[in-house]
Amino acid sequence: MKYYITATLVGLMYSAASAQQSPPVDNAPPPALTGSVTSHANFTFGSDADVMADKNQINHWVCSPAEEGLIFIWEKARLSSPPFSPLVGCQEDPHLVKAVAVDPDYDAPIRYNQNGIQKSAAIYVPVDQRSQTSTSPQTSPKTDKIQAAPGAAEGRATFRKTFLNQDKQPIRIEVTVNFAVSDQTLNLGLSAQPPYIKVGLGSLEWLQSSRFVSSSTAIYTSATEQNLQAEILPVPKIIRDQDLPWIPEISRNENMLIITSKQNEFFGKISVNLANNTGDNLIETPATIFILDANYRLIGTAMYSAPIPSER
Amino acid sequence: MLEGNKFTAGMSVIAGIVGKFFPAPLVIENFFYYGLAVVGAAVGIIAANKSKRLGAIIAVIGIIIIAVISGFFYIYLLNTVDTPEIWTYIIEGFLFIIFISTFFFAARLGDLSSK
Repeated sequence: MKYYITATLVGLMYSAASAQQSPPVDNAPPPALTGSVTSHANFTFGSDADVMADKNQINHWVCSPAEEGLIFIWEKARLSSPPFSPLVGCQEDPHLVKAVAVDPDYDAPIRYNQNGIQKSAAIYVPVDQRSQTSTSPQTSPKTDKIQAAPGAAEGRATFRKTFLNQDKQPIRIEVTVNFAVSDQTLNLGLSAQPPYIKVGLGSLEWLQSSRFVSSSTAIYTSATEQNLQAEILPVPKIIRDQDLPWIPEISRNENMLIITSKQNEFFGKISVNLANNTGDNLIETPATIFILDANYRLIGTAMYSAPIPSER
Repeated sequence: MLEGNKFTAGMSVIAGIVGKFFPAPLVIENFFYYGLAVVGAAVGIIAANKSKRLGAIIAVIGIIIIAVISGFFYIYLLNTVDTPEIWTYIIEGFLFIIFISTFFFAARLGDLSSK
């Protein structure tokens, strides 16, 4: 009986993993930039931008049917899969952006396998609103927009990945982050499955600065009220030394807001009152999501659009 | 008889070429090139200091055999294990140190024999 239950559970986990092996569908123009690798590894990858009337979305994805797992780092897409959490399905990061740059970045190679084979790739990039006032090395040449989404700062990002854990079992994780500003209050909605994972969000350290928020401790107290724990710490203090090289280089020295659930479900809405009309002056910039397991092992990274004050 | 200056210069050129083109595990290349390679250099020089009475022929044959074996298995592991575990990195690190140390062992031995 015990073996039957175990086998059924393992079977269910495998079926959950196999359900994640199909590349995402391209819903709207422009066409997805896709590619595949068949020698030394077997995987497909792509970068898709969907420009629609009411929203713009970018999604980078890598799908691998390999049972032993795939390790890779896609530096410019901020997508990575380290050796201790190899990919056994799809990893993707659909996230809303204000605007998509007209020209994709055609110099965005993926490096994969232990010996670091390089595969040429291209990605769609969001317009970094910060670069319109200062120089950003990633997006400074691409200033034209396809279309800007109207309305106040609001966004949504999802991170999905199926990976092999330490016991070689496939685990599927899904994290959703929503943010919206209303009445000078930033609402940050979070859900994660399984609930033991830790979610790190880059470029949000300003949420503890009294220059931009009414109380520098509001982020922590609001999280506690939702049975979540929030910390803002430098990436090298959270990420283990052996995982640090798997963080996109641009994010290795920044601070991250790391959220952990204190109960058996990971769901909540953190609200922070903004100061000095900060809510009216939020812009969006490409940032990194860090997904860690309960022991702070890196499961993977991805990209999302972070709201930041324009005068930060 | 090994001729010190030429041998040292030759080994330095080879070590430079190896350092430039020898592959290392994904994203931790610098740890291998600038961390373990320094350890390998130290191991090689210390080992040579302790075995300065070694015959030239024996030294050359030993160096070549150890370099080929450690280099071969290092490259083999690097190219056949696509998704490494911690033990893979440990073995590769060990083989890399041995491989690099052979060059510095030879160079130091050359120096000592020319004195």
